[in-house]
Amino acid sequence: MLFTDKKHRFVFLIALVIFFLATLAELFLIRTVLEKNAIRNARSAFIFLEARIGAYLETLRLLPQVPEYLQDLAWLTDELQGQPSLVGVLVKEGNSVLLDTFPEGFFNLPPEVFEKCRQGLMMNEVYFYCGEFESVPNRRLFLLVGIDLSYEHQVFKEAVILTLLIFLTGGVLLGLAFYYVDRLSRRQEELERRLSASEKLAAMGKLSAMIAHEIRNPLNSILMGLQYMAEMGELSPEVLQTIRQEAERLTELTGELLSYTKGFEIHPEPVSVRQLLEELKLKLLPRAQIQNIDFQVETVPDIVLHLDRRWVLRALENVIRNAFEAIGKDGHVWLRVEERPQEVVFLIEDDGPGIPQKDQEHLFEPFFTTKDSGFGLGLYLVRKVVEAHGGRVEVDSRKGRTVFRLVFPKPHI
Amino acid sequence: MAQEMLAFKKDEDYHMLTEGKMYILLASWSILLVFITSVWGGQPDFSPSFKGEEVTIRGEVVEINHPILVLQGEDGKKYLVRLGPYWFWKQKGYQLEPGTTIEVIGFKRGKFIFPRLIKDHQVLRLRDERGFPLWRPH
Repeated sequence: MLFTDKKHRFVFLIALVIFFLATLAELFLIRTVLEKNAIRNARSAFIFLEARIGAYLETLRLLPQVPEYLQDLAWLTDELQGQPSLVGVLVKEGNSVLLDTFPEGFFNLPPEVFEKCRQGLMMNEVYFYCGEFESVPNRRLFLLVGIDLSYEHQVFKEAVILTLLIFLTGGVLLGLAFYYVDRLSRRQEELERRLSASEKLAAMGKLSAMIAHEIRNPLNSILMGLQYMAEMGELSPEVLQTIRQEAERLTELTGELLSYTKGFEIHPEPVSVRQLLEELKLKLLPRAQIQNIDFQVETVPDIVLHLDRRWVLRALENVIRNAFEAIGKDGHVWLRVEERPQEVVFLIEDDGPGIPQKDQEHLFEPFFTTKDSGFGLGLYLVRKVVEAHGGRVEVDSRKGRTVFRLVFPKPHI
Repeated sequence: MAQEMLAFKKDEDYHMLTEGKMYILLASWSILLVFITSVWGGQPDFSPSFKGEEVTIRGEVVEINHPILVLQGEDGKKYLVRLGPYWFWKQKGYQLEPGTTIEVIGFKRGKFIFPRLIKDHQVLRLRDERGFPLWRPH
């Protein structure tokens, strides 16, 4: 099998067709040049013969005593037959043949020669050309010349053989080139498959680590609580409360994990945007203060949207926490809301170092992270949440300023 | 598994068929190129055999004044034989003396006989089978 890829085979065939057409064009050009050269030679020979015969007849007229045999134009036969490019010459005056150097005799020429020779006629390896001329006063002669084209034909045949060799060699080289491109392409696909498998394994490893980490802490708390109550021999309402909270956390975690595979199931309800922002401020301000970050939440007129409160809070929190992490210490983060006619936009802006251009296109891919400790699911979750609400996420980042826009459509009234 | 194998087999057949077509295409093009060599001026050959036009005359050499030889034929007529360039005769070492009996085979044009062969005790070749002179460069 030469090519496995249909696209490669198609491109190869197209290249071969173009190569073949170029070869034909080259042959056509060579042939045209040779033909033009033959026509030029025939016309030159015609002019030369006009002059030669004219001069001979003039000489005969001027000499006082000329042997009878010299008055016969056939005298020139040996001389003209000695010319390698001339197949034959015919000179007629009316119906009388004055000179015929065609070895087989002019009467053996096909009638077509006399019908078409004035425009020039190519037949086999001979080019015929004829015309009339007045060599001496009152003598109008018909002159036909046949030019030998065997040399031009030989040149053309050799050009065809050479072109055929070039075409075959070129075709083989082209085939080999495409064969290696095809092989390389297959190899690349194979490598990509392997890489993808490795990435999947790595992602699975990360995911397992994350799940283990998230489950271990609540489980420890539950076990420690149970152990405490077993040792004390009584039920403690505080410990039971802690166990209940940790069990709820585990339930929430499993729900989240399932949502990555099943897709998000959102349960929209009317949510006050102002309350949402206040809740976020309350939750994240202590963290901002620890990092010495000026976290400003803009006060907005109350807008009510249909959102899944829990998931939207989680998405906004993810973006704000990312901003905190990007800044590290000493910086600003702004949370604003912009109301447009058809949509409401949550803007999270920071004055951190910005996101490198090469990372921006992968930001929302699952398991993409530039942090040592992250799992690369935060922004993936953000996108999923916003898209589940029929919205979109936009990022605009440069050094010293990064803006995330979470755009939610307004409910239809 | 069996279905996968069947699909693979079909795919293989498809590639082989397409490649087969490709090779047929290449071969056709090559034949076409070779064919082009024979189509230039591909009309019926008009060159007849020269032999039908030939004349054979036996007689005695009366006079040689190069490039004209006067031959007294056995039929009693005198013929003018055009001998071709002198340098060619000299190069070939051809020589004829008056009084020699010779046979001239050639074609007649106007008042002249243009010999292909002149036979006396040897054969002097002056033209090829088609009638072109041997001093004509190729």
